[in-house]
Amino acid sequence: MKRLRIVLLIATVAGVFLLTSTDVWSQGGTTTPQVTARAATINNMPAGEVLVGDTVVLRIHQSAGGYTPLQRANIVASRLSESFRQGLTVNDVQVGRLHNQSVLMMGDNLLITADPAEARINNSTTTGLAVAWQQNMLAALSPGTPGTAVAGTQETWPAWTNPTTKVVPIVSLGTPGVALGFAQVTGPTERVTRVQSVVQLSAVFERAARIFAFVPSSEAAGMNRVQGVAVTALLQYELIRF
Amino acid sequence: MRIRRFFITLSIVALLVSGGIFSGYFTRPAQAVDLGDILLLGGVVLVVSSFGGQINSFINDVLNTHQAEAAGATKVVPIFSVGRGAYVGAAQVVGVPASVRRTKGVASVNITIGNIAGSALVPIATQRPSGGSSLSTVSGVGVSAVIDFHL
Repeated sequence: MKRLRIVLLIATVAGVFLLTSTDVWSQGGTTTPQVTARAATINNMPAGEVLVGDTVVLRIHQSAGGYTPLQRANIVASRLSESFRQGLTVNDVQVGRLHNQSVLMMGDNLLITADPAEARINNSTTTGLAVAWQQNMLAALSPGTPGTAVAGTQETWPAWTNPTTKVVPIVSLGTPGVALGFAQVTGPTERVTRVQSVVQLSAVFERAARIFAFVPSSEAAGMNRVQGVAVTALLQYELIRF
Repeated sequence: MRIRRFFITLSIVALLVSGGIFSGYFTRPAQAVDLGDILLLGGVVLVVSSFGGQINSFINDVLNTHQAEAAGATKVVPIFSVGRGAYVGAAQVVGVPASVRRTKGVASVNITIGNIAGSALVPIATQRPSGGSSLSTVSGVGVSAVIDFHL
């Protein structure tokens, strides 16, 4: 009887050891990255931060969808942790488009939408902001990969320290090849030289105002915005009555 | 009998009509003062001060849809035509945040190049150019969109 107890005890200890060691081996020596969220104060305003390990990869300044910045950060951290648990890696973090908005995805999982308000706070575009977040994650999880010190450094709006001007045709996306007039664009020399046209977009606001947006483009007929350049004069054929 | 039927019918009709009136009275949607009303009453400056933020967000959303939004700060301000001496519309200006904050209006100055007439759009630090020949211009800011209220 005593011998049986000893055998059972040894078998139990061996079983526990086996299960523990199997669990460790099944992870292949890699541990799931630690993802956390915390509250922060930026310019006296509450913000939420998402951290991978000790590195802040994403900072949220705006409330959205009824959630505070901290709540949003917690949601993103939870999605990121869940994605890691599913076996996804940092290489699965991609910038994409969903419902006409720039988003950060991990595999098929939505991590966060780069909304315009957040992008403006970061002095960036929505796509630029999403790319910056992606770069930050890469830098945090793949040592040696350079991250972006400031979110949205892909193309920012520069100060016009040495501005120059240029006159280019105004084209419409709907009728390529037809010049609606001409626009003078102004900005830093190296950016102004890239501008080939100004693309005109029109929209109606509240049935009371027609809006003509002007996008300096590096293409003669297509739209590829050159940041840091804006219109300073319009020469049009009676389109807008000043 | 016929009189009784008449009164019953009359009561039903009266009930329906009064019900219709009261339901219409109580459920009529609130009439918000819209942009057109404000434009008629207060002009461009009042529209911009009341709806500038909404118009600014609307323009940014339109540009975002086309993946063409500006990376700089933006704001909607009134356009003052120097030639006509009146406010003629509004503009969204874009630039570095500090300069955009200083911008209070855009002065439209008529220009002619060859056979084409147009306007130079100069961001200024006041809502309308002060008297005299100089404009209080704001450097580093340009126009991203023009808003025409002549619909």
